[in-house]
Amino acid sequence: MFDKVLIANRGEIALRIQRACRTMGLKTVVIHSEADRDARYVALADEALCIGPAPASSTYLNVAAILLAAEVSGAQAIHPGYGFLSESAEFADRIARAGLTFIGPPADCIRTMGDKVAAKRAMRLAGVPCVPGPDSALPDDPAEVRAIVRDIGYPVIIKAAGGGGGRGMRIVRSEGALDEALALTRAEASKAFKNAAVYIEKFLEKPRHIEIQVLCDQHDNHLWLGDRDCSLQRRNQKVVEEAPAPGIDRALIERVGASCVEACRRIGYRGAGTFEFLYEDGQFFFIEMNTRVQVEHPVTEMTTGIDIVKAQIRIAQGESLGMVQGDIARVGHAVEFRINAEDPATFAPSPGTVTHWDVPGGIGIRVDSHITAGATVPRHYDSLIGKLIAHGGTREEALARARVALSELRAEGIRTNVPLHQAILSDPAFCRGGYDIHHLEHWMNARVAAQ
Amino acid sequence: MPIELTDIARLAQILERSGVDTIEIEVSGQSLKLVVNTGPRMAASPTLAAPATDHSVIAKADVAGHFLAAHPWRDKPFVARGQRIEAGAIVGLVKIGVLYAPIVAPAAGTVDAVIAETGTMVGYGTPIVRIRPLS
Repeated sequence: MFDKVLIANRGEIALRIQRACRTMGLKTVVIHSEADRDARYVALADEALCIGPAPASSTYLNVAAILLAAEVSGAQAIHPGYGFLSESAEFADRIARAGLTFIGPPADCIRTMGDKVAAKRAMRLAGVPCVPGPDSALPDDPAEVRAIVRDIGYPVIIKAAGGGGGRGMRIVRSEGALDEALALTRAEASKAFKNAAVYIEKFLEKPRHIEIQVLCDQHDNHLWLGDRDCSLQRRNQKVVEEAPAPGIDRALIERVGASCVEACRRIGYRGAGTFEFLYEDGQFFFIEMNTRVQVEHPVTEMTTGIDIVKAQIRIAQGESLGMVQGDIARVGHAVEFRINAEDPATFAPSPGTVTHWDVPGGIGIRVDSHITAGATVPRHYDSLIGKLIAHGGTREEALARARVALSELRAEGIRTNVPLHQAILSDPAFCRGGYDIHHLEHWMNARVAAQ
Repeated sequence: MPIELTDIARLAQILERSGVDTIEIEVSGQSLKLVVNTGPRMAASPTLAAPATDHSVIAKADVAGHFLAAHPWRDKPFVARGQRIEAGAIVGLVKIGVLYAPIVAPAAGTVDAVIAETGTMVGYGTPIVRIRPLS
């Protein structure tokens, strides 16, 4: 059983993990870069070790330096946070080989979920609903492909097996366009990725992004804590998240949650995790599993009262979750607004020194941020400087509290996206809820056109 | 029989006590060369001017660990105040578990102060030794 935890991350999540450790009576070791030397959580740590210059490759992504820091400090466990090394199976493996505890799932679970095709197969076996389409590359014969697509139904999306990040994809809306699209995508895939293999999936026109939070211990307790709607996105980056997802049949979500728990049981999952789904026309489609704590975990904490980071640590200590599915009550509604140091109109990063920092408060308001007046936002990392979470008995009450809180939040010296959040809160479609993943970009384009 | 770490430690101590500064040994395909700094090659400057902080350069740690002013097998620190050193000279060590990483002088000059205390935890960029460079 460990009593000293090394936090291998930075920013708000480093402070979040530190708070969980301190409430549990665990000592904390913070590793940091030169650029983060003056951060609040560095000063609050029992021990702080500067392990390199600003670039993440020298520090937060530097496995050897982090393991040496663990050795020097005597930390027996490492919490990876989110991003950086949190989903590196190799990092988890090396921590275990060094005789330390990785606060996260077993390395083989990370590996399986990191492979999209393997993850989809594992989910199908557990009865988790997936995007229609075969789990393998398409045959060469166009006639065979036509038959496969007829089964799925148009529109479909052809994806290069070696592609990713939005490259090597083509949407096909009718059989007449299939042969040509197939040939083009194959040729592009062969050229760009040196791999002509393509696969095909049902294309969803206006999906919502809904996800399920799970927690599993090594004593056969597998729980799901609820759903989150993270459909408000810009360039695949979440901007606002909420729990629960408005306007979706609760009985359906219960079934999806139960299938996620079954998948966890089958793959021997341990720790906190998130199943991400697309949701369209009353159906859920699995896209991927995140094998770590997520930025938006607080909305689930607010509605369930469960400290997810503390639970991760307890699980890593070998403790039992100490509750059953029936104990999990979900109360009210919570919304999280990601506060970024960026221009609210152009989204250009806005690093610098925060000269004033006034944080809102009051009933139902939670602010997770490592920023203080005088703090520096380095240019080297993600622009997330905090999260404002509003909880209320209803969605309307949570949004009303969020409006007041955002009006109280004062950040000077840098620009933030607070004005964007305030504008979003006056958008009728946002206030109704249930918008799709393209809504924010369409809404922003319409605003620009109107000006 | 392979050369063990304990053999090297014992040899180093013998060399230092006997005032021998170099030894080379070859045993069954292994070769070992030990060079020991057996004494001050340069006398400490008799008078020390007030530190010209404006021009001083700092030797910094470049890895996190525990600072050692002297080699673990020796009592005498690598450098002392007033000592003339060359660029690249070892001014201390950072101990990381079983590893020792050297801290080197970025420029030639006179040691103004050893800032870090032996045994303390240092990190990347922690100032270790202040050096007054040769003008």
